[in-house]
Amino acid sequence: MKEQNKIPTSKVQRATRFVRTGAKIGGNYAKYYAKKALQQNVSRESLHEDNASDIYSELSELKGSALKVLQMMSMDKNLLPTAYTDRFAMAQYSAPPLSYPLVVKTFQKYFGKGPTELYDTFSRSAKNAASIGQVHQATLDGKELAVKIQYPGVANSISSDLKIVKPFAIRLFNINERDLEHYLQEVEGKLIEETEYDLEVRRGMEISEQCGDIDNLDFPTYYPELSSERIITMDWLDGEHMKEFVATNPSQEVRNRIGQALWDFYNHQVHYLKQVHADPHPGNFLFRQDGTMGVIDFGCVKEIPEDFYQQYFSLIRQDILLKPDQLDEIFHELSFINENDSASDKKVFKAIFVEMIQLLGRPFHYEEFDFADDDYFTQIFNLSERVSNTEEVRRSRTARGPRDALYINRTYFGLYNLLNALQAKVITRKPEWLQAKKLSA
Amino acid sequence: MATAAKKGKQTADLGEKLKEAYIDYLLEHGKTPPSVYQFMKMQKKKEEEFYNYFNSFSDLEKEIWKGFLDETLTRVQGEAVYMEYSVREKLLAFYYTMIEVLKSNRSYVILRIGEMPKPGQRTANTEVFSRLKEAFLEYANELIAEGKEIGEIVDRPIIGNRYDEGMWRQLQFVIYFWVKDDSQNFERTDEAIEKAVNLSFDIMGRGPIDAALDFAKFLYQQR
Repeated sequence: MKEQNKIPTSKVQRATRFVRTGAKIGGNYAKYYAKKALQQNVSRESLHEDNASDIYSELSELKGSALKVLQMMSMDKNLLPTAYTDRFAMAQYSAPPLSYPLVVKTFQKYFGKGPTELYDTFSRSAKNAASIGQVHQATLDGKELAVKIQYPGVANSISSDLKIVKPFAIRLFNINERDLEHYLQEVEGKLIEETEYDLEVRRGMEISEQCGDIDNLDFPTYYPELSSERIITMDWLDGEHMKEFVATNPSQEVRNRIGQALWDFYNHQVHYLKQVHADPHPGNFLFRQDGTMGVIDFGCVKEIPEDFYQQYFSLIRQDILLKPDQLDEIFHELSFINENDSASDKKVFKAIFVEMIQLLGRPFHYEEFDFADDDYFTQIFNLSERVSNTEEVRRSRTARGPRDALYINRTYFGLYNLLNALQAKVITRKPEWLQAKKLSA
Repeated sequence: MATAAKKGKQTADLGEKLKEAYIDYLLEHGKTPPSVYQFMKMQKKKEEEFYNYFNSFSDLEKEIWKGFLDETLTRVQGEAVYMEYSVREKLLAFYYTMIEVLKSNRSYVILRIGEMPKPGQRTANTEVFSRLKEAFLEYANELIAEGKEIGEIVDRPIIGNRYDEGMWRQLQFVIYFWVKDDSQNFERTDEAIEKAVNLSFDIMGRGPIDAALDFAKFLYQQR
């Protein structure tokens, strides 16, 4: 870590300083959660002070997929605070930038030609850092292109990174090994998929075609003939990232229009395509002053199994919460509660989940929802604080909820956070069956 | 198998062919040919033709290794972009290309790697790698001179003239690493090269220690 503090001297090094910054941000979140989790542990298990600081310092050194997994785990176990506090600033892989000679080599490996032979122009240094690669700018036949090149060895490092994370996760989240395994499998599969760039191209083309009719939303054209396992060529999209965009103080109308495009994008994917861009990380979207936005990066796509979909989303129907029998059944099937729970545990967990679902599903309960409402987000935050401090939850060593939910929750928290950052008011379109019959009471 | 031969050099055609045939024999039989006479007979050539190029098998092997380097340099310097590279990038490009060259001779490299001194050990003149080392040091010194000229590399007392030796050890490290690398497409080697070169240039370049020394010198002179 310390070596990295040196002032980057070469062009190549300079070009990618942001990769390191990204890693640092990710690291800080890990620190925060480690601290938080350990404080609980310290009081509970009177964990030895030295021991605690050991884990703490080791954890802050964690990088790459390990960090990502920890973030996701914390999101799922405490449910919301992560989503709320970190605003989905996901961990970046901390790989240093690819040198230009390695970029050339990668091209030669897959195309037998260097980048300058494939494109009319090709930027020597990276313009941007992607989550597991870097983006160069190129032109071909007058078109401006973005060329994403993956860092070497990312795919290889995933399994070993996950092995590192296991002991930490067991400690931090007070979860048993079997349950942890069940999450890790899901996460590992997804992380490995993210490294398969040819898959990403296919999915990007598929989803952008199917979502092409959504207003104010556009996608880059992908060029499969200029893409491979480790390289993706697509159109260069203009626009600003969330933070810069919001800083320009766009009008409420523009905010709403973009917010609507985001909502519609997710609505269409989750409910109609049954597969979803499950990485609503601000870096994957570009926003523009004219009220349009672009979606880049289809690395993480979650396919939603049909029965999970039915059960999970029937929970957010407002009317169903009022029917205890039906609710019990769904809770069981989704393993939010299980046979081994004592009656009182069951009651506590049920109460928690009902409250959580009510809160999370709230935007669905209205025709229109104002995500600028910080009060709503504070409620989410408070609930999750309360949940993680509940005796029963802290004692419980089983993971609750289906593993498919991991990515769906992540997607929705991410979406809500994006909309909150945008301060957008959105018509919360949803499929007909989800529209709760108006409550008579 | 093909080393420089497929590049179609005009000179030393037979020399290249002999190198190939020698490697071929070595890999198929697991040992060196019993005599130059027999070896040349298998090539349907007269023994004395061998001596136009090499004076012994061990001489031939030294040339094989040097040939890897020569081919690497020809390829690297043949790319137009090479001239625009910083010294750090030149060295990176060199290693990547070297590994590509070695890749087509991986079995031979693995067979002989045992004889290569571990990074850090000295190379005796009698070893098969001696000529490779000579040629590499020459190349390394060109890079270092260029680096010093444009300020990418800082000249320092004592270690300043050991940089070339350090780069040679780095090359040994890279080859060792690649021989043991079992990752797909040798991706780990790519990573190793990037990290090793970045580290070495961070060390050879201006760093905090130079600034500290400079500062100390300044304070001293103020007295």
